[in-house]
Amino acid sequence: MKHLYALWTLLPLLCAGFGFFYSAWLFFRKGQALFAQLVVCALGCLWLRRLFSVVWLLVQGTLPEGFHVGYFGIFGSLMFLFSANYDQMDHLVDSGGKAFRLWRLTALAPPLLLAAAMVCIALAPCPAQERWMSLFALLPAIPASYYACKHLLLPDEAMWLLEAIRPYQLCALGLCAAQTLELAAACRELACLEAGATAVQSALCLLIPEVLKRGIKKWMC
Amino acid sequence: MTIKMLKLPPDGVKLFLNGRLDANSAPSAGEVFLKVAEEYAKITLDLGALEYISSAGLRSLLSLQKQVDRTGGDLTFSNIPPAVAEVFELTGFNAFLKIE
Repeated sequence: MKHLYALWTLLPLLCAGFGFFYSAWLFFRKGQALFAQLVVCALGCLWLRRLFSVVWLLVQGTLPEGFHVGYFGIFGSLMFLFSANYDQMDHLVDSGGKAFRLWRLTALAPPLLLAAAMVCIALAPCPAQERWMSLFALLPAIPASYYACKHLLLPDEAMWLLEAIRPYQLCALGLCAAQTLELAAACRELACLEAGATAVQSALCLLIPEVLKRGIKKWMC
Repeated sequence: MTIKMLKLPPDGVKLFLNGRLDANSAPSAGEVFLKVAEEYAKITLDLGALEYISSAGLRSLLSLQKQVDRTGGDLTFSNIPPAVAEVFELTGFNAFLKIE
């Protein structure tokens, strides 16, 4: 049982590590898209968060509880996912006209769902420190999920730019949802849901570098 | 969007792009770009007065670059506004576009 517990803590670290180092090798080169480099930073934050948990487990014998820097890993990864899609990227694919109003409104669905999950965290019977730190860490999930969903849904006429990275946007949306679910499940002590959300994040960390590589390659075609 | 042309003999031309290069203006701008690429070997695009570029506009610039590469010509982008420079950086286009 103890070995299984250790393995379950180590697996997300390995997956996040693969995602971070492989994508850093792919995209941290001269002339690579800044968009991809921001995603690498998001994966880096996830890896650091998992690394902190494993080191804490090795030193203390339990997983970290209460206030700990791992929360900043979640906050950072969501902020980088948000930054990649925000501002210039968004202006590039949405000139702000009325034509896309329906898609903008539809893209509000995931952030609203995540906000509902955050209300569950706020009302959870867990220590106040854990509750408020979880809410702080998850705050950027709201804008990050909005832009990921918007860029996933926007129609693609001449906009090959979005068409190419739709699979990545789906992964980014999944990462926002899985991180929120993981913390909500931890606050509610739903171990199975927490493990499932962690497994989804690990799978997404493995997928994102390749999906992004293919998408950005299509930009140049 | 308006495009002004300044011929630079013997085989060069400078295009001044003014306004918004978006889904509405990109097709007509793309046609002008292709004609220019057929006629001139040295092309300079002055983007100083470009207010906005959308992904469609970006694609028309990419098409021009490919056309110029095929014909063995030379394409230079000059006077790039900060917002457009950020777009080039974000998408990685600055790596293969010749920027002055």
